[in-house]
Amino acid sequence: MLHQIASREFKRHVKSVPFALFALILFALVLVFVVNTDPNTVFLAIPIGREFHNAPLLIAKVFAVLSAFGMLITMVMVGKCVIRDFFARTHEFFYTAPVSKTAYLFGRFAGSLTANGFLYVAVVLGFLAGCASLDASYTGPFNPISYLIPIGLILIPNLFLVGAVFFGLATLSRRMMLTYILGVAFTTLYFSLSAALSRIDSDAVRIMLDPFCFETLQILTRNWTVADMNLYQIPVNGLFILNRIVWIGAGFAMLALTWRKFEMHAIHEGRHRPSNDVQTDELRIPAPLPHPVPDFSTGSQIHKCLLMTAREAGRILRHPAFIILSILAMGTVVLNFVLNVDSAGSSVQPLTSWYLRYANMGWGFMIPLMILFGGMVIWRERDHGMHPFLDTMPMPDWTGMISKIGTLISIQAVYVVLLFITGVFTQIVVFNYTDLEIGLYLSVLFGIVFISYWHMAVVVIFIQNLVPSKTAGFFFSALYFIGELIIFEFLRVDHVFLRYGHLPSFIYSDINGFGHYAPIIFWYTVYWIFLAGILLGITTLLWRRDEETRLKFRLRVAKKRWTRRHTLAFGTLIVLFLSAGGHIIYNKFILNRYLSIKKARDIDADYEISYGRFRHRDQPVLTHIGLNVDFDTDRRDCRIRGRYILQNKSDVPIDTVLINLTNRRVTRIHRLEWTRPAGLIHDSPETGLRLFRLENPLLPGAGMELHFDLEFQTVGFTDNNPKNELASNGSCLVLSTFGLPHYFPKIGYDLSRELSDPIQRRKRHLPDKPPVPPLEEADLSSIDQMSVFVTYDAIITTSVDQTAVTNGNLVSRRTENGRNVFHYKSDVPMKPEILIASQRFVAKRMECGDRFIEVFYHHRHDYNIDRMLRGTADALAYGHRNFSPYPFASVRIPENTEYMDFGGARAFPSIVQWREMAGFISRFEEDDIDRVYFIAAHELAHHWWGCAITPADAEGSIMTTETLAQYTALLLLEKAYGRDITDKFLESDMEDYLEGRKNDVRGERPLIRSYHNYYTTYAKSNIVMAALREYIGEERMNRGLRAFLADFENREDRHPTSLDVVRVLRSVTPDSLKYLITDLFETITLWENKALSASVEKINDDNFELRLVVETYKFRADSIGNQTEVPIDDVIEVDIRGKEGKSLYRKMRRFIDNRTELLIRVDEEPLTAGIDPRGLLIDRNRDDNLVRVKK
Amino acid sequence: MELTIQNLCKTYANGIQALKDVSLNISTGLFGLLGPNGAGKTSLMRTIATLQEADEGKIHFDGVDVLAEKQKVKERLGYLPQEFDFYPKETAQGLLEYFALLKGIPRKGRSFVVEDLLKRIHLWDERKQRLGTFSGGMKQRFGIAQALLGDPRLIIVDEPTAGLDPAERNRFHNLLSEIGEDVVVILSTHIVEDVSQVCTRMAVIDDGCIIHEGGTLDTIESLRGRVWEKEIPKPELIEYSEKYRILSSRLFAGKTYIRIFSETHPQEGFIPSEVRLEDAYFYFLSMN
Repeated sequence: MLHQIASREFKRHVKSVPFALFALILFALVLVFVVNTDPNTVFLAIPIGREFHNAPLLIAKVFAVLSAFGMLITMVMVGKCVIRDFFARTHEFFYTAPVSKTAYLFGRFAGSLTANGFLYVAVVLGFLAGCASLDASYTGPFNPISYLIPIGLILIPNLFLVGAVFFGLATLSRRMMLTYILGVAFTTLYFSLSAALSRIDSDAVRIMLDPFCFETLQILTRNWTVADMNLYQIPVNGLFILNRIVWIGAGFAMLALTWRKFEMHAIHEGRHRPSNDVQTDELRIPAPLPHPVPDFSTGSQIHKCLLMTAREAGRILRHPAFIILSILAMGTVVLNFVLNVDSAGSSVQPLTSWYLRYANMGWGFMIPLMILFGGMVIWRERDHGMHPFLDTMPMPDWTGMISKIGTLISIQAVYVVLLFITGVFTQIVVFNYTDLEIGLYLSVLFGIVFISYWHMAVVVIFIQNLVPSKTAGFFFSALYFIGELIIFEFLRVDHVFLRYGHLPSFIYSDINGFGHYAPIIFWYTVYWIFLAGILLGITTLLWRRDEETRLKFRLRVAKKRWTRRHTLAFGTLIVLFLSAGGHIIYNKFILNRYLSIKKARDIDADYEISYGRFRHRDQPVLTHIGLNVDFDTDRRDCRIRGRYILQNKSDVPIDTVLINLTNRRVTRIHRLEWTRPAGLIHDSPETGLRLFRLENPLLPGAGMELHFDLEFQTVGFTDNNPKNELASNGSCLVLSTFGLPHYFPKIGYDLSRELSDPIQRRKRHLPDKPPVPPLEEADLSSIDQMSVFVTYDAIITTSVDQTAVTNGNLVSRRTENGRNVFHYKSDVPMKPEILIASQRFVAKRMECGDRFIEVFYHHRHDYNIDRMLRGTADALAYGHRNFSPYPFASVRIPENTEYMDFGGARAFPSIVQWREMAGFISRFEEDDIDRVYFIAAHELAHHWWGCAITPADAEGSIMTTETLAQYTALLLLEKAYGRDITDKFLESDMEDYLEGRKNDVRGERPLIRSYHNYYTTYAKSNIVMAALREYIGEERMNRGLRAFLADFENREDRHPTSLDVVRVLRSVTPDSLKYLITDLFETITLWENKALSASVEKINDDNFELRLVVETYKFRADSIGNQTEVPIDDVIEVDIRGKEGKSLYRKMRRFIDNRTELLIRVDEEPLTAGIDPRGLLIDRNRDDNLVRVKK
Repeated sequence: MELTIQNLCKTYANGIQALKDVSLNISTGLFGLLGPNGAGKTSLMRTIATLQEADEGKIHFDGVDVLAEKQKVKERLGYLPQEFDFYPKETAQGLLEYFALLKGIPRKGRSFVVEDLLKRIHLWDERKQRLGTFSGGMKQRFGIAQALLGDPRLIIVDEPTAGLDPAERNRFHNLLSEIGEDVVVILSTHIVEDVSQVCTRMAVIDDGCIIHEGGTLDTIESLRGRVWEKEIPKPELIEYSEKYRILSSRLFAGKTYIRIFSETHPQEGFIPSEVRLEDAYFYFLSMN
């Protein structure tokens, strides 16, 4: 019997339309995933790098992800398989048929689960089809095992678990809606919690808590390389199997519970109470009494409308879906807020602005709430058969519409208030933080978030009112939200004024508040509100108050409803809407010229094509910069007058000079003149390039000056590349050799404008080019714009409440005509890397020898100023003593607004720019790594490793700057905080490195030839420099670095490469350790160190003999991680510890065999022993380096 | 005060012509609209109750253009639809108060009105019960209470007695007959007794057309002396039906009785019979 029921059920599913539809969707998802070769686009939340697109691990991940996402399918197919009898009202037939409960329940379950599993054949087909259509280099050979393992171990158990849970829930509750809601809740919860779970330290716990095995796969393959992914099946260890057993067990438990509780009764619970309606006095009807006269005034109608809203909202607020989704939303927001970290990886102060960033996540929960309740409120009367009564009530049409939209807006209000309370509560209770910014809370939550939710309600009501059924309404509402997401996010349409209800993305800065984004937010809000008015007007006209469903009749009704008042109202709304839209367009396209990303790239390509011939043309270089900058901070205007002194330092005469300015920024050029006769022969408005022809060529060694006077005005507002450099509080101009925009004339061809993305280059028919030139082709000696040293003089005026900061020494500061005037000057030649900031600053100063350090910060951001000062001071003192004298009198550290889109902090000569959210608001507990100190030391170290030298533009150039800055900073961190902290830091770097190399689509390179990317530039640099320092000592290291500086410091014509760094380091390394230079810098080398066993023999109380067996292997890896073993002849640390971690023995020992047995005598009882216990050497399995000593 | 329907036509999307040129004049008092299922009764009721659009024709009530000025109609309308239900979790009193509010009854008199109505429909004792627990008859009574809220001038009751047991039906008839004389009440039904018991005027509708209109007594009177009855053996029913215009046949105590229409005495054992409204109803239907 069971078998028959199951096979019937299976056939029913397989023949159904949804089955084909689901299969098609799965197939399409997988196909799109497999054929995607753009590493920047991630489908199914699984990034593909350089591994085969049918690598076993990828197949397994796809099954894991799709079985989790496919929960919604399983819910429908398996969850519903028994209770559908209820909905079809056929249950009484089945319950009275001679079918046993077991056969009925499990037959249905087995049949639909099998059908559900069968659906996933589409995934396999998707892979096969995808691989067939890909170039062979993207795929590995077909291996059925790669599919069978994940199907057996991941897919089937996952489906079984999900199926059993929803089957049980639906069958026992007999309410599908509840089941759907729980399903959505679980999915959301799983994905929102997985981020939080990933912060649990214990892998075992994380694996066991992972019902879908996705996290498990991540953990077990954490250290895999591309080569591993191509070669191996997924790793199945004991924990993996245990996880599967536990979760399958959970599924069986659910099934058993369902079987026990399920009863084949027609009626679920005694819902119907038979009532006694026999009446004996039926003829004695009291005489009717006169009723009071009904009131149809507008006031009464409004009153009715409010009451209807309140009743309806009350119902929803008690609805489980609202409660569950709200709790989930609040949980997600709080969890992310509590566990947040900033870009430097530190915890963050619980600022209100920071909480509000996370409060935006509430958006994702509001969409399902609106879809669900929008449908529910619109159809409530019809679902209950109440509509004829309400439709004929003496109320105008708008009351119905207003009460429905009012209901949705009321629950949104409750939701927003919850967000508010949650935030305040968390700040106070969890963080004991009382500096609440209630005004900010209110303006963001009610001024922005709440209003943006309204539009969702409007859309849903509009759709539900038009469609003929609630289901259709759900479908089209969901389609709307998915569709607009696809159009605007994936297709990257960047005209937000076409995306109903959305605001352009804006940046909130604690320093400048909403700043110049405020008018943008205001106008878009107004614009959308008018459109909402129009949509609601249409909804009212088409409001359903009768039995007519056809649009034709609804339109006829609408026509009848139309009065002159409607004409007036609609006319006004449309005029207002178009005016607001016009105002936005006028500001975005006319006052401020619009430039799409694509167009900007086209212009850059055009720049390269037109002027690439000047790439290597000699140009005069700067020797002095004189500036006169006036900020009008209220109007966000700026006037720059300046004088460049230039010299021809090449050995050929120069007759053509290039000047770049960003034309979209410059309002007026009052002056741009040479002190020699020169003609402007070419002026490109698009690219901003001007070509001057000198009447008499500038001979080698000769000089000339450029005088300029530029005006920058801010007009109107725009969300397209707004003028963030000029903020009311937080102006920041950069004169630099790289990066746009150019507020200051930039001389010569701007190499940084060349497109680097190979795909974009190919699209525009530009030749391929490496991201940076190969080492062998590096230009080691020419004097160019980047390599010179200049003197500097600047007078900056700004508003009376602001402080201006720039490079050099502050000569004078005065207030003149109600404006602050600052005069800075540097006679010490420095790189022409200049930062000019004007802001309302608080300053804190610290003396450091005869120099001083001054941090300029926003008054609320005073948390970590001392850490910054200390890190900077330590680095200054250390470098001054150990590397070379620090030439400037001071270091200034101005805090920057969030507008500046560089990483965290950036070093300029005598000045360090530091972004507000990248350290100023970090929060540290007792044992946390003081990353602010580290960053401060790192940036100051760039004075030597960056500002004092001019690295050649080539592969591995990061070694001359970042690697050495990391070395300095880590060394100082260790001196300040001890080795436990740096070991912790290195361990996290090791993880970052191993993870990063796996995902690098360009392939890993040895440090000496590395491109700039996080995992090598910062993580690996830290690891290898720490290792080398451990092996050869700080003194030798510094000796080498001093030699390096001696060669290159302040040299305009000598450019170091990574080879020079390696050379000096090798020269200070003893011969016995020279192999390390090759291993650490010149190759990708990994070790596999392992302590196999340790046993001890007690000789007497003070003498213990330890027998330690260790293994060590060394491998060289290629760019995708294919490893080749190399013979071992290495010095590695051996470490033995006793009680309470007391070090009994620590020595560097030389190993020449892969397996070594060591006999070591110690004077206390040893407890642990191991090889390279601190993980100095790169080792994918560091957990096995230590063993417990056996007695 | 009069409800005038002129040349009303309605065709549904599926091509069914629900109303074909319907014209009626309905004055105050109880008016019965009698017709078989699918005759167009509900279409007509819904159209009068502003719930449906007409393709052609006009409806006026007391100077109000029903098809255009819906709000004004709604202010005077009491409507009990054929198919409806109530929020199952609401109590009778709670929901009726809500309805009273929506009908615009001022807060002051609201609870008094609700109490009055609940007592009249004999649900006062059950006022705290949830509507989900009510039987069909109780729901119908509750429905009529709802329709009576706010002293409507035009009351439309669509098939209210279908599915009710005789006692409930009787109770319902009593309720209807209590409604004031100066109100237009339209009772649509396919049950002849409903009309004969409570309506003074009536119309017969079939296949979208009004085939008879008149006073209930006049209608019966028009057939006086022309209805005959006879007990026959069942197998001969077909023969008789060929020979006579059978109005109805029924079984009584295992015997078959037929009633026929005939201008003259048909002999053959027929005896003259008292005319019932049912006879007239079947007579008009068979004429159509």
